Amino acid sequence: MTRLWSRWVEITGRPISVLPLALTRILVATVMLLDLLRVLQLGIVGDLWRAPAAGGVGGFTDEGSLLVDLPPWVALATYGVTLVALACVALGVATPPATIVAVLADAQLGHLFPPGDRAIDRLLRTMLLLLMFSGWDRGLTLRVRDARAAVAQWPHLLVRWMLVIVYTASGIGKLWVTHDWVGWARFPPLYRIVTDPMAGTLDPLRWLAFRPAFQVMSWSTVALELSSFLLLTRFGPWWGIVGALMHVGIFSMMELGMFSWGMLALYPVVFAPWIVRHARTASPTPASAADQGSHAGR
Amino acid sequence: MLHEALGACTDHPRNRERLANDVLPHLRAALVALVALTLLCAGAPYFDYVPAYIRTPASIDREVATSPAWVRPLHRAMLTFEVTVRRPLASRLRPIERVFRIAQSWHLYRNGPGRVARLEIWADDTLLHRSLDDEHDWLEPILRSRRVRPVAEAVVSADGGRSELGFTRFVVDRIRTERPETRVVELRATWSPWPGDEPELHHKFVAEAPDWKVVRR
Repeated sequence: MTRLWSRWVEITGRPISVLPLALTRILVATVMLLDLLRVLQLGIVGDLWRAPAAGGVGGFTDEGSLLVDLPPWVALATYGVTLVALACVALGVATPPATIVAVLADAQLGHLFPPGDRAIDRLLRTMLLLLMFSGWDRGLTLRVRDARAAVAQWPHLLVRWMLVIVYTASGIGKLWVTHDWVGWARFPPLYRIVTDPMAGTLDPLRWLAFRPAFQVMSWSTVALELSSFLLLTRFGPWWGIVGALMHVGIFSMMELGMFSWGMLALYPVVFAPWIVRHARTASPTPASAADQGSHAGR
Repeated sequence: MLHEALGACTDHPRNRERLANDVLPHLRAALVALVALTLLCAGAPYFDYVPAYIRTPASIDREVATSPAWVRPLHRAMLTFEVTVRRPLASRLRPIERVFRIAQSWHLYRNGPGRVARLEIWADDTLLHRSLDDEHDWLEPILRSRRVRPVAEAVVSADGGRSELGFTRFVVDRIRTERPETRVVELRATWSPWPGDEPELHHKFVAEAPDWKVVRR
């Protein structure tokens, strides 16, 4: 037991280059920022984030909403605060306070318009909270332009663990509702998902002949999700290639906004071994992560 | 007082070194383990799908009776664990989840829809929009944006969700702005069995001038 604990202490504190985490910080914050800006581009900020009683699109709010009884301009201000805070996170300016502000403000937008706040929003907010004190702002920021610093490895473990939970839950959930995912269905689940006129981009009649291919992809999806525990092993990056392809596929066949990009924003951690190795090879002069072990976890 | 005591402890270089090398790594490892377990507890795969009505020994018995005999002991153990351990613990986390809106429930794309449902938007007798129809794509970027789409989906579903009023009002306002001569706006939900070649009107939301009150028909 003592040996196991010592190993766990060593693994959580093992120094690793800040580069993957810094990339994750930039990508997560940028994806969320662009997603919010897309709403501005569509000209519906005031329609979405407005209490139903004041003429908002949503028919209900969550009990956690502090904005529901306040004037509409407060919701607009919250939207603005979220944008600024996310920009600060992406740039690495006052990162921990900016992160907490971004998460709280974004959560309030979600409470005010629950239909538009999806699982990916919850996941990315969770990640922001988990990584707030990871040291991911010790590289690739306005102040520290390089990524030579080393941080403790524990944030990587938590991100990969979170991804395993999400993918495994998703895989089990699929099998929970129907065995069509692993059987031979007349209309395979994946076919129905990507040709659903409300969310998919493919025409159900035009793609009818390709149902066998969609059945194979249905099997592959479940197999991939249920094998996500590989993310916790040295095969993680290889799993990540297939996972990334799945998200690209989802992006090309469905209109889910930032879902695919939000998931892929976490993949620098999945590909961390390769990213760190490549960075070390490309720039051998700076001290390697291992050399900076004494600074890890600051 | 505590601050002074801690200060005295860490002022000495040897104490500082001991804190950094012997105490903090263990504290960090313990915290990481605690967070990992919390995440698992809050969004545990499989357990998260156990229906809320399974909460008493009798309901567990009824549920277990539906599974094959060889798997019943394991099934019973898992449901008992869910009801007596995980669910109470997870419910303690709800207040924190609510503040940050981070409910750990990952039900992603469990199944495709059981029918081909489409939304049609009519202004008087003109079809302005039909889902996945390039020839009738008025308001397409907005209606298919990820934040509005769930509301549109709720409108074409059987129960209409809770947002049909706000959504229909939003569409009516847009049409009245762009086409002031319009007298009737209809949001029609058409349903068809797969593969979607037999669409029929299932229900519709109608708003008529002059009061533009939204009515479901």
